Amino acid sequence: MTRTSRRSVCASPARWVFTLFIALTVSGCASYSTSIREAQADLRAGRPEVAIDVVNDRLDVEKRTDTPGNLQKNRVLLLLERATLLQAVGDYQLAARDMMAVDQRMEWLDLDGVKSVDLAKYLYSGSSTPYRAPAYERMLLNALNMVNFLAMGNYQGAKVEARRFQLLEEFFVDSDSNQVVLGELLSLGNYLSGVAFEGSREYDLAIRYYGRAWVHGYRPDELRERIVDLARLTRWKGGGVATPENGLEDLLIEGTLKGAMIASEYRRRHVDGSLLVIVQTGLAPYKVPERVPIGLALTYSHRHHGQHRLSPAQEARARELALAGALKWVNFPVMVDSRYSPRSVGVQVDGQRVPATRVTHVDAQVKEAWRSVSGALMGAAILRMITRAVAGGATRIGSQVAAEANDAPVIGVLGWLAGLAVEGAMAAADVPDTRSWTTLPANIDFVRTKLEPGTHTVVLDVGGRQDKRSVDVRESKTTVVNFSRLR
Amino acid sequence: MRFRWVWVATAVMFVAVGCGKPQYVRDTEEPRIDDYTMSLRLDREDLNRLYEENSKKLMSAKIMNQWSRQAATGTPPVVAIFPMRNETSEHIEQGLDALLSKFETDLVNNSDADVVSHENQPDLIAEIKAQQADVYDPARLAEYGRQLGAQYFVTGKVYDVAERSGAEKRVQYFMFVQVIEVATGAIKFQNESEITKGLIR
Repeated sequence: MTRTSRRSVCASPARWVFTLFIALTVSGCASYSTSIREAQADLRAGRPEVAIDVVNDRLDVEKRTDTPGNLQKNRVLLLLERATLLQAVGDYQLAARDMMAVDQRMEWLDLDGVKSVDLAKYLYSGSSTPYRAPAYERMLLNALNMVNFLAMGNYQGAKVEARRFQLLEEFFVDSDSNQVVLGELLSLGNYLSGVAFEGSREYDLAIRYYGRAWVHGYRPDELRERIVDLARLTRWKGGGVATPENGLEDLLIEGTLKGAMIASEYRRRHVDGSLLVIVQTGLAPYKVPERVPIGLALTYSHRHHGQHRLSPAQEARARELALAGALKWVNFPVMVDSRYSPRSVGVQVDGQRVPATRVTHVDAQVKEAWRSVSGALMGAAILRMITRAVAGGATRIGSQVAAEANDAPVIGVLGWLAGLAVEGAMAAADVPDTRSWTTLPANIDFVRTKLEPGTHTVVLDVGGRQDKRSVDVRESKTTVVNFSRLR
Repeated sequence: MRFRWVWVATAVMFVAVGCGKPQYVRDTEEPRIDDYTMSLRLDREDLNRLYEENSKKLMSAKIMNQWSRQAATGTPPVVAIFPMRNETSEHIEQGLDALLSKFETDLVNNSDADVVSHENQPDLIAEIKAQQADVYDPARLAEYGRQLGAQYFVTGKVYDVAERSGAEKRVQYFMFVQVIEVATGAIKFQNESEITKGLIR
């Protein structure tokens, strides 16, 4: 068959029909982000109860009190989404139950020692494989479950979550793993841990957790005073944590110079009548599938400098195939902003506005963590596409040779279709995994204040919408209130 | 026929999928079900082991003789179980409650003490558990004893050393079962037991 005849085969209707079939197949496979979009929209509109019903439907259960029969495929993640929504409606007991179930089962993504071909399998297996969470999601799970227990006044449960958070901190951060966990997230978990141990009168441990919150960057005046007075009470010298650079050492010295403090005095100043308001607003970024042009894909892959970086030979092969038209784009999950951030957030206690302090930019954490792994994942994805393009091309070349040897043009046509089938089958399998914890807030703020024992009104204003609560503040304990309904 | 192997393979696949689906069973249907370790928390096997180890020591301890002598005078000591402190990284509270209930059963059936039930004090017990209120705080001990009507508490605490390496995790539990005299705060009995659970690949 001449080159001209071959080009006419390329333009045949069969090829266009087949291409259309592949396009429909790929687009018909709903990504996780698509399946959860309805629940996200309900949450954004301030209807978390409706969002719970949507997620229950995805979990094949009828009521929020039901637990799924199995937690395979996407269900661990869906259960986590439901737990977040249950927290938003104030059902802390069920939210804690769901989060504990997820905690027992959720695996995390570890790039160390993984071959590129396995990395590509993780990227494109979608809902057929268990969800593997990034480190920050694993740690936020324990931090937000601490919120559940603290809101219920259950310090025992909160301390268990605090210890679990600390274990993960040691594993992901202190052991110098390749996981990206920003300091703000560590401040969040350590501060809540401090509240839990302070509430249980374990001041030796409370100061360690509050101290770590300070070290990782959360430094409001109330925490400063708290640490100074805990230093007076416990005489903790900051072993292994306090340095002149992070400023904690100065606080501990100040406490020592001020002299000893007894526990009842500390409680009177910092615990009795204490109110902690936790405000979770906005929605974290999430992933959507996109076709990334090969040139841009190669640029993404350059972010990674480790074992999954493409070799010069692999990169050259990719460029050759791109020039030949056999490798045009890569199906890849791309992180996008939720495009939803409240215009203003304000807290009033008994009609008086109180300042809130931003403790964690969860959206920044999500983006930074994704940026740190996307280079390696893109490298693995490109290798997979090279394999696909080569397989499809080999089939076409083989059939072309057979057609010319047998003087049978139909073999050439069938060969082209077979080549497309190979590419098409692999393209259909290349639905990128877009799973992530989509109901996470974008931001978490704290308000910490002291009130007289009794009933008080706390109002959260999010972009003009209000959530009003009546809160009983007790004399001898810290009261914790969570707002996450209005985003 | 052609492509017979395709149909056979497809049939095998469906059968395999059907066989692999999870299903509910009871112990009479699957006798080995209690042999499986399914979490890092304390299951019935673990609780039975901890109970056996501690119960033997408790029932043969000097405090039992003391209670017998006191009971012989016509005024048996009043004993209550007090929620154990969970100082671990696992939510084992329900397991600890079950263990304490087993000790309570032993005390009722095999000791000369009067065992008071705190079921009529649910709010107090809930408060104690939630705050993990300190039975070892002398200032509070007398108050708890008065509210629960007890002269002795059977209680304890559990610690752990938990470590993680990659996808593997190990939790080493240390349990201390104690009898505390309310009036003085003195520890009249203490026994230590250990158990280790792990997730290994």
